[in-house]
Amino acid sequence: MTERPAAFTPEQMERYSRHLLLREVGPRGQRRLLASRVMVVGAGGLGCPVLAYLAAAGVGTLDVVDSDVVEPSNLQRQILHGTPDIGRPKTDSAREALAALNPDVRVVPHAVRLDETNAADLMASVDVVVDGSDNFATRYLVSDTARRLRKPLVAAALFRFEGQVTVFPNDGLPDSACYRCLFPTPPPPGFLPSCQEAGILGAVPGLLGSIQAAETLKVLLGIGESLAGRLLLVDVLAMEFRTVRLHRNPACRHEE
Amino acid sequence: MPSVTEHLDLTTDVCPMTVVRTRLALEDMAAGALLEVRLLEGESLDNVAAYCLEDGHGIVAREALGGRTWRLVVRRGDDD
Repeated sequence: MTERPAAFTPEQMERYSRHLLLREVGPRGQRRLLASRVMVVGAGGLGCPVLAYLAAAGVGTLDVVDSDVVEPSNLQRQILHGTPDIGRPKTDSAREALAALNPDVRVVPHAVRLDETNAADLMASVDVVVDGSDNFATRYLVSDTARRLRKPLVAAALFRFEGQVTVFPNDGLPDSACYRCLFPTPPPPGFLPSCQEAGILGAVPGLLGSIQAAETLKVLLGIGESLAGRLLLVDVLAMEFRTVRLHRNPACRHEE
Repeated sequence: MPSVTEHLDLTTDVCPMTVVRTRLALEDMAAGALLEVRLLEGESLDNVAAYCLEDGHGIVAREALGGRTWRLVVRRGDDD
């Protein structure tokens, strides 16, 4: 005998009505979102819109990993944090903003820096990992750990007016690419953006983070065609979007 | 012909909550079971009826009850 699913409260019927109307989501999909758990690495330019849309969508549990405090320079794009939050841990201000947005969502803050000692534990019980980090060391660690644990990874990166986003399914299939297939080694120091090149148009992470949120919801719901096997390149200055195929690099030293 | 087992009064609801509540009610019912929905003529009636047909349910009765209120009897389809 199958158990009858929990009924939506009148408040939830209203809150999720625009999902409930979609054939691809509907009551079953909304219940699935409410039962899902997603880890977002970084509560910054990408993480803020990702977290806001996932919380609004009713993803039941959100793990937020960030060890930074809010700085004035964050406020131009990191929309979960406000001026009164300057100096506070980003996990605190993010948790408060998300709780105000949707009390259905449980936010699990991790005010730590992701490293080899904690990454697998933090990722173990989530359904999807979203990378909104800002450095290569963390991106490799997130990708390697997610691949080892077979967790789908929604990854994005930004530079000035540009961004790129993809999904690494980490499904164990032989042709699935990973972050190391795309970037086998970190760029040499001279190739990293210097201080005066660290500018970013504030709406760019909003756009890319929204795409990450949409891809995460699609993966959780099992609907549509994800960006798995494709890299979406966005140039906001020209406002051009294009996708390139992503292949597994036979020489890639995946950490299985 | 089975008898109506579920009733939904949507006369105080507006679009799109009329469709949302109809969908949720049908989801919990067995295939072939009948749902009676009361709703106002115009957008509510039109949209709920259209939704039911699009989602594979059947409309077995559609009648005016007086005033602007209508009665719709929906047979739940096989799966949604």
